[in-house]
Amino acid sequence: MKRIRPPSTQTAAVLFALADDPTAWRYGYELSQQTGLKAGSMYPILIRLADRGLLETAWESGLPAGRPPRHLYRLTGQGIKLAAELAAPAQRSVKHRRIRLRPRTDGVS
Amino acid sequence: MKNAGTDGPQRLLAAAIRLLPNERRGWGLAMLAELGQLQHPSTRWRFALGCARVAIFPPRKGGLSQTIMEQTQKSVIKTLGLAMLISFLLVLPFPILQVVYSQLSLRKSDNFVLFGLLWLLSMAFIVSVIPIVRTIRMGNSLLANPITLLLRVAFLALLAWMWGVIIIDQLPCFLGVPNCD
Repeated sequence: MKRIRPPSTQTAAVLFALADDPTAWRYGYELSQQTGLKAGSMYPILIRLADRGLLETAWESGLPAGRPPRHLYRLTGQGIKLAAELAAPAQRSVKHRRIRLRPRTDGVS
Repeated sequence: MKNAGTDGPQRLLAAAIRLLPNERRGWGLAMLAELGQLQHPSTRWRFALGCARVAIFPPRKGGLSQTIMEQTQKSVIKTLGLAMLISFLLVLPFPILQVVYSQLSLRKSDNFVLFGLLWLLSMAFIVSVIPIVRTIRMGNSLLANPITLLLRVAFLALLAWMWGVIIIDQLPCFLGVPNCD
């Protein structure tokens, strides 16, 4: 059976950024700014996500002459599913922490 | 905006991209196109340096360790499978002879040990020969590592000699000669 390694924090950040609006095509630099990752970290993540079939890529079309087309990215169905799976425990943990951090009112005058 | 076709970041990234393997070349062009959209010189430099690093050390398909592991596993499984099959085919005529000429004395456990030994010897021979064949097929010189080659040839000769001796000794038994042991 193939071992599935949980993605790194950086990869998860890219997945979450792309999952913000899963239908929209995104640029590499835009993702880099959103996640705070440098190009040297961002592109290997994008490449690996695409290799694993989690990321769909395309080239811009219908551009004015002289401007080179940019590469566009968005999650595949599998990528959206993975982002949702990763987000679920994170959200549970935040909810749990909120409950624990709620100030105690009993016995406090 | 500065002429992106001639500035340092563009030249650096373009040079780095040339090092990318063909299957990753599209990613290099993607980085180059993205660089074309950046205007501030320091941003361009930072982006180009990061991308150049990726172009020089691109992620391998499935990760380096996984790729090596998979290739090694595939190669080992293929070699062993091939060796098992060829050795089986090499040894198969002898039990058939034994069955035909000695009226099913194959059931004796000694015979299983004998055929098992012949099969293992053949397998060891083929497993040792396959790397030599691969080296020749890839167009590499066998003499690149003469000591290994010498040891391998000596081992192959020993295996062939053992196999031959067993066959010559046991052939009368396979052919149903009376009082054969």
